[in-house]
Amino acid sequence: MSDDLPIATLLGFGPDGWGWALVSGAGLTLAVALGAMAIGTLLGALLTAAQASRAVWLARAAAAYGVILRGVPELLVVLLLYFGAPGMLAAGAALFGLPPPGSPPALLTGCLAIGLVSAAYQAEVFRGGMLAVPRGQIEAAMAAGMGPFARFRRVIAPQVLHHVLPPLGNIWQFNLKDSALVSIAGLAELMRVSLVAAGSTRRPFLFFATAMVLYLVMTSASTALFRLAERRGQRWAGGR
Amino acid sequence: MTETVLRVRGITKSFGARAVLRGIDLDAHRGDVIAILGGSGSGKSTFLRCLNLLELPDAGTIEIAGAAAPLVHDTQGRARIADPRALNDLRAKTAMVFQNFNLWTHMTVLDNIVAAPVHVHGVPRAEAADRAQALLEKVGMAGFAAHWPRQLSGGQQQRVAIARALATDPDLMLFDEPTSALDPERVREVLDLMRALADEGRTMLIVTHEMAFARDVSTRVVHVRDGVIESMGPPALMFGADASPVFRAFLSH
Ligand SMILES: Nc1ncnc2c1ncn2[C@@H]1O[C@H](COP(=O)(O)OP(=O)(O)OP(=O)(O)O)[C@@H](O)[C@H]1O
Ligand SMILES: [Mg+2]
Repeated sequence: MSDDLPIATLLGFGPDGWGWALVSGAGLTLAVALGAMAIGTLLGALLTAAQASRAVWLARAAAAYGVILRGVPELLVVLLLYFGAPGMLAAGAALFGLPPPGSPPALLTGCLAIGLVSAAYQAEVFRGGMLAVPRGQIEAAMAAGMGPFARFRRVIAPQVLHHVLPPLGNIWQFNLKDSALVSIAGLAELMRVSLVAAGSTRRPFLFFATAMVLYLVMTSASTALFRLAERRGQRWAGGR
Repeated sequence: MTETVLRVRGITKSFGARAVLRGIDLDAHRGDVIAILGGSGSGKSTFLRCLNLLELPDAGTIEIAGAAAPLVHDTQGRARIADPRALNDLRAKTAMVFQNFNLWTHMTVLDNIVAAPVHVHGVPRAEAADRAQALLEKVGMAGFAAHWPRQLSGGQQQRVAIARALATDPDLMLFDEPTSALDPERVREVLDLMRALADEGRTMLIVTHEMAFARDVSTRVVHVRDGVIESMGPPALMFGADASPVFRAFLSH
């Protein structure tokens, strides 16, 4: 029984300690959030471009994606991917006469699930950011002979970045917290580790409180990083 | 022999059912300062924006210092640039000064001026920066290189915008009501600067409502009305008793 073990032992890195498990859990949490953020940024940028496309069907599909993914619980997306992916992969493999490949790694499924939702929110943020670049400044770049790439690199991207950093910081924080949902897929991220630790030591308060502290450390550290990045853009924008 | 810098033939442009430009021909030689006058909605801005292809004309040809960007038309008759490279080449020979300055707000004054030389014309940054300092001096903005656009008055922003336009040594400068957004007491500083540019032989097309400026500085006055050039001529003639009655009516409105 571990009821009587001291806290230092339980949270330590010894044979009865959960220290390593918690640290690697926090690492996996960060990995899920980072992976989701990357997928979300990539797909979100594509969605933004699609929504601005002149091809009506493409714009509609991108808008529909946003409505759906923002409109259902994240947990549902996680469950759908986690339980649905093996079946979908098997069906896909069957088309080529291959044996079912089994389940994809939980980390991948987790990143994808949170990332798909993140993309829907990031697309909205990017769209707002693009609209915030004054048309006249883009025309000035055209008039100066800048091609589409130079216009994006020199004029659009820096201004969009400035406008999207604060909302992206919020989305990042949601990604970090939503990664807890992936615990349901059996990934030993921070939430999962604390559940297991709480159950097997029967010290739920200790482990959930520890998890809380670790989550807070991660969110406040990243908030500070975003603040730092934002401040760099504020000089030209005149301190907001 | 004066070199032809601008050669425009048969420009037309409609927005939906509204025919805004209905066939415009115009030539400019090096050193010409052409004042484009006309009532609101007559198509002056649209014409100017067609010259650097910010608007695509429906038909017509534009040649600037030997560069042209031929248009092709799709099955619905919509115009498109055949070769994007030719488009940027043509634009690189021109520079535009806007009513609302349109400085890039996230760049310092210096970066605004070196952006096109460095990123479009491939000039080494140090060289572009030296030239930018000289231009800032010329427009009376020496010492403002490190400022942000938002820290400047309208007149100062427009003078920086003119320095930005000069930075690529353009063959043709396009001004669309450069003083219309300025406080009355700031108009003079910009007009004086433009007069200096005219004196040094810059080729300029200037859409303006400043009649005195058009009369005193331009080499030719063009009156645009309903999307066509109603009349044009040297200012002495256009502001004299022999000008077209339509233009005289416009002047006395
Ligand atoms: N992008 C556009 N879409 C639709 N209509 C337009 C567009 N740009 C201009 N127009 C219309 O074309 C006409 C000519 O506009 P333009 O801006 O060229 O006039 P202007 O002579 O510059 O007038 P002003 O002195 O008021 O600046 C106007 O009726 C205007 O409403
Ligand atoms: Mg106009």
